[in-house]
Amino acid sequence: MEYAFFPGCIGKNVYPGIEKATRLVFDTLGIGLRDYPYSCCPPPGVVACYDKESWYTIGARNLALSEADDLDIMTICAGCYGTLHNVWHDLKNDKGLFEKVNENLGTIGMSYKGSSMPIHFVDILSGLRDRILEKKEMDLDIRVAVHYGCHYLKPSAVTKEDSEAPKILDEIVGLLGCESVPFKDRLTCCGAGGGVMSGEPDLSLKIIDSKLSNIRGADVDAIINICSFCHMQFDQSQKKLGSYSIPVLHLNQLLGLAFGHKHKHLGLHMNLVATRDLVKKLKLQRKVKA
Amino acid sequence: MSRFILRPNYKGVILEKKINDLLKVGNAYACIQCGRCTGSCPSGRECGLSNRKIIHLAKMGENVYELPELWDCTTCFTCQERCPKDVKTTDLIIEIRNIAVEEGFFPSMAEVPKIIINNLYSTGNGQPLSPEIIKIRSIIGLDKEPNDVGRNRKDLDDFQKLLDILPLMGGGG
Amino acid sequence: MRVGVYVCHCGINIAKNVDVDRVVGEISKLPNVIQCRDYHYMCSDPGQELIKKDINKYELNSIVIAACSPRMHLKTFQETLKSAKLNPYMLEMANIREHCSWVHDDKEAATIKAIALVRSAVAKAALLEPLVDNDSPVVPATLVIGGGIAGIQAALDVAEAGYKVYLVEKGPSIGGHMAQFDKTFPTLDCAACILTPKMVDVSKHKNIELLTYSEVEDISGFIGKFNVRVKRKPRYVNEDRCVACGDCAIECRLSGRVDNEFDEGLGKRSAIYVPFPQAVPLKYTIDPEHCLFLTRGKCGKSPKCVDVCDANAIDFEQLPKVEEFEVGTIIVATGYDTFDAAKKPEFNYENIPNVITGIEYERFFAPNGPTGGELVLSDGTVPKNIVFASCVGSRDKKVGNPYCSRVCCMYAAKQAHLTKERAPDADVTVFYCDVRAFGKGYEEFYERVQGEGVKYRRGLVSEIYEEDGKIHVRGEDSLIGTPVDVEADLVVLATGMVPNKDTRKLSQMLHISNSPDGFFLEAHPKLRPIDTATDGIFLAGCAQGPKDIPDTVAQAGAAAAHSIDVLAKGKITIEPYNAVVNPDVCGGCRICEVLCPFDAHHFNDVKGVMEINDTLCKGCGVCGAACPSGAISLNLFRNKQIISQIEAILND
Repeated sequence: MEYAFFPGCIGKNVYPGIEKATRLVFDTLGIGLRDYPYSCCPPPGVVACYDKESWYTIGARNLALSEADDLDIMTICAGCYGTLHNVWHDLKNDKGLFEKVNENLGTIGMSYKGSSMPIHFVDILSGLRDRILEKKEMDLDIRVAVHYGCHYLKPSAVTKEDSEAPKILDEIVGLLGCESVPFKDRLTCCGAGGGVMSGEPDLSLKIIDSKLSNIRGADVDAIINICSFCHMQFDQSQKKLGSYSIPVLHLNQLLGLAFGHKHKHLGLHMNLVATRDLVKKLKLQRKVKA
Repeated sequence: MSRFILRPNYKGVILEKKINDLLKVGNAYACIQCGRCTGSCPSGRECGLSNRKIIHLAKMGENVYELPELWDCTTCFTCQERCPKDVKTTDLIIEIRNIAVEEGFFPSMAEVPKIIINNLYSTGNGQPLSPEIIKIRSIIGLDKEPNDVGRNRKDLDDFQKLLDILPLMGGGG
Repeated sequence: MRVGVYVCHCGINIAKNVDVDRVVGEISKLPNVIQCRDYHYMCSDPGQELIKKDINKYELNSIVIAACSPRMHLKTFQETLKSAKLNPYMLEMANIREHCSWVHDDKEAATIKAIALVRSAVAKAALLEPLVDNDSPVVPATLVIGGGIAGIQAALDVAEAGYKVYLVEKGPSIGGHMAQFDKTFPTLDCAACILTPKMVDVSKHKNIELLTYSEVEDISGFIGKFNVRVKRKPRYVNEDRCVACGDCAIECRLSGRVDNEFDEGLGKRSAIYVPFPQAVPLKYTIDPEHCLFLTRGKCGKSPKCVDVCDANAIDFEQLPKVEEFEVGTIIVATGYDTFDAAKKPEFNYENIPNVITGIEYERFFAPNGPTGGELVLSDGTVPKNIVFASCVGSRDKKVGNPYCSRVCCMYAAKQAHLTKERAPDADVTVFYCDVRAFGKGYEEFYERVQGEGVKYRRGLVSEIYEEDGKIHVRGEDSLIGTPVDVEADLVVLATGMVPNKDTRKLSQMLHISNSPDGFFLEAHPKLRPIDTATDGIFLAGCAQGPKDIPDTVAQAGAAAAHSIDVLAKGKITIEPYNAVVNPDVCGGCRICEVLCPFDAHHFNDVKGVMEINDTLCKGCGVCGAACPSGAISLNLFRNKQIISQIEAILND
């Protein structure tokens, strides 16, 4: 199985550990990832909200790149997924929009067919549970707060998992031996999207502060996310707020740890919130089991 | 290098038809003002954003384009999920934002979003590379520069040509 | 043929867009047309007189009326012909209103179209044949399906008129949901007090045969003669011997361990039970899904109920019985189910014990309920903060119920009142969107309840969660314009009504339809809310759509009246809008039999040809279209008639 790999800006240029973890983990799982000259997705918050036509066009360009090779596209950031999946869905259902976008792409000699489907990496992992168990080198006996985020689950007219009672992420971390701890407002937005993180930073911090306070109340070892943008929000905001210190891991980084990769290779040491204690705890668990 | 340009402010009949068409497509006429949207809103809790109020104002033909709270929505889609009348609440906020930008109602362009769009143009990415990141990438075993549109001059040129014709960069669209 | 043509102006409805004079001019020129006139309102008395006079004066034998849709006045004009001693089926209507003047702006084009339509009607009129109505006898009995208040009322009304009623109820007792209520709005009458006398009347009425714990399995036939097959489920208790002393339930090994459906699972019962103490009939029933003897083959050394029953009424050997009978009419009164609140996961109904539904809360107040009528939670405390959430599962496209359930605003107000009555210092808030207090005394009741200190916050509940042992309700107070987060000890979800789960099965059995909301479909939403599209089958109560008790009782009376109409006439007249088989042409291939949606075809083994039951046949035409030898034709739509119409239209 092979996918076109869409890492997104944050996974490449801000937290490259997420890109690295993805490449390592999917290699272990036997899934091929191919690169294409992608641009920014572009972000639903800062671009779709300013001009939808531009958003559809730039998004369609990204989708079109892997059509010749007949590959579906894997995203690791739910923001990118929100863009690519909604662009794909809307262009499928709106003929006028489809033609306009192709007219724009035509000016640089490109065309969009809509044959490559964007898939969020969690859906791919969902179909690989046996292989995950097989490749798992150790159980990660830790308490985690899972963060589903928004664009993977909604709008549900376009997505699959139940947006009010999702289970997939809890199940996957469960496969790795983690305990997914419930906490208040666990499905609420991280406050970064819609251009709010850049445009209304005070509001963004207020929202994430509430979430972090709830998570702290749950006494967990790490926050596990499935979105590079949420990852950035959770990590950077703790630094800005100053009163929290909960390690933030992208699900692929968690998988990397479970598959026995070194935390440095997964870029964990790059986080603003130190992951030292978590890594130490896991090292100790490994020693005890050995 | 293009800069993000705000179109000159012109209000008028075109605006009214535009918003009425959008309200129709977004099912806004079905809205019973039940408030489930606002009650679900993560921003509403912190700063009082009321999507319900915005939809009502828009239906009544009031000026929603200059409301500062318009930009408080994180587009989390929870309101749209829960709306019992299938009003496309989040989609409508995005459409109203589009009109606000296009018609020049945007009260003040926050600096950071402008930077992101300019980065998009000049490097192909909203979040660009930095020397520190290049170093880190090679330390953890990745290509120094990601294999994306920014790596190849031709790809980036084409990309910029595409952006030049789009409304985002002030193009005709 | 001597055809008379009458073109109606219908005021300006037709005349505004169609040049009536020109139509009259053109049509007068046609062969067969002896007389052609126009008039302002053909359906009026003078209009009809005109036609009658002409029929006699000019010896007309076929009439064309160019006017509105036949759905409006076909019957009217058939009566006109009858009173002029002309066969009523020598009539053809041309619809130049709904099909012409009402849908076009271009008067010239509309006039040319009208002329073509009338020309076509004249061509058919020249080929009409006189047809005769048929009579069929009516069995003087009614089947009422469902023993709630609707079924009870309908049964009593028909029985009082002197006709036999079979009342079939699938539960062990009649009474329906109304029996579960404590008080009814707005009078605060005790539900059981006003219902049980009617229930007893039903059991005592000499004309009513009560078949409880029974289900309708099959229905065939047609108005006047429906064949009904009912399965009587075994109670495993001999009804003739049981005196309802209750010793069996006390001694039962599962006493207090089986969820009581009547209490919506909040209370417990034994495996042998009566659903509530006022049940009619008051006979015990053994639940085959829980009874140890029935599920495992043994109950201790011997079943306790058998040991303790002085009347020797327990009979584990009982088998289901089938009863078959004929009725002339059927009244469907199967009621509703309540919306499953688990379908709104954001309310956490399944996870938080003190988030309950309206019907569950009702059981708290009922004196025969799990708390004996006391307002007390499962931990023994009295709630101090109660929140009602309106519109749960109603007005909600996301769960597929766009309709309003009509009664929830009022029952929430009633329950808020009852709450204040038991706990005057409690903080009671109703989150609402619109308060629908439409009925007699309802608005006054709403005001009264507010006067008792019940707070009404405008905004529907968005989500419910639990934190530190307290329930939190989130929403927006839309009149103030801010999001709110309110603490509560108890949250009551005002769940709406959904169609009874057996609705689809019954629809197919009875050949009646459902409306988009899933309830049974009435013949016309405004003018015929009792009838269905199938003659002889009537609707009563919430089976047709959400409604309160007064409307239910009224509709039940109406359904009874419509039933009695049929039964009193003693026979039904069948109009000849049906298919006819020419036995000389029929090859006996039986294709038509399979296709007929009304089971109207019957193969005559002796003659080797198909025969059609006039009463069942609705004249849909499917068999006529399918018949490979052309043996089937439709009265009033014969091939030669249709072809002549087509030719007339094309002959410009």
